[in-house]
Amino acid sequence: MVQAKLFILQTLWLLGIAATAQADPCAYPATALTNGNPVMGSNFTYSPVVKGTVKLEYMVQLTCPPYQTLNLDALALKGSFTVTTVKGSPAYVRITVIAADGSVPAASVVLYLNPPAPALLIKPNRPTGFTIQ
Amino acid sequence: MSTPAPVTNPTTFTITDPNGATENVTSFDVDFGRATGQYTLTASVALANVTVDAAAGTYSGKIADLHEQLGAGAWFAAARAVNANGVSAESPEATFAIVPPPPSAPTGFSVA
Repeated sequence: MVQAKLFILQTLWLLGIAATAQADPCAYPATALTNGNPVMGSNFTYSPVVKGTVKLEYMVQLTCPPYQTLNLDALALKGSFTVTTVKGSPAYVRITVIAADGSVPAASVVLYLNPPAPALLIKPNRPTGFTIQ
Repeated sequence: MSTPAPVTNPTTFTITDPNGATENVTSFDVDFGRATGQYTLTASVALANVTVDAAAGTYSGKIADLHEQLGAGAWFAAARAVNANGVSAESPEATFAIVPPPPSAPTGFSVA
């Protein structure tokens, strides 16, 4: 009888440990970004932005406190992309972060893109000299 | 001080464009005309047909490669830079003269 009670207690204790070991809903997801939003590391298009190669500056915030600022490199994702865009500045894309087990509420993040230098969109300056010999 | 005589029968040209690389210049247009600032002929010069001095920002080529048959007389010329977004304004103007060679000597002369 005592052994049975001990077994039950041990089982309950182990179950308790398993329960607390479930994924923290506010934990950082282990998978890369998915769900139809631009998959990091690939080319993507959106509008309205400018044409050219841009450098991404980004800050990822999960919806669960305390808010975390994460470097996307930690996700083994590329930090820069080549994008084909239309026009406009500044520009951004919204990326949704989800957990591997789907338990984490979708957290949207905004990537602010630095548009390329205006020189890429204008005509060249006149040559400063022309000589014939 | 008198104005120096223009170059006669030139064979080469040099375009100075220190912004050529940063502005992604892909070619130059060289314009010719009989009057200053009035150009009636245009020759396109691809970068592959010029010698580029990146440090000096110059692009040099041969007049003959412009494929323009310029008649005898005074000419005025200027260059424009070209990139994917369009063409620049004219460069400072250069002047030169085409002087035809003297005729060959007659091959015979007789008196009858």
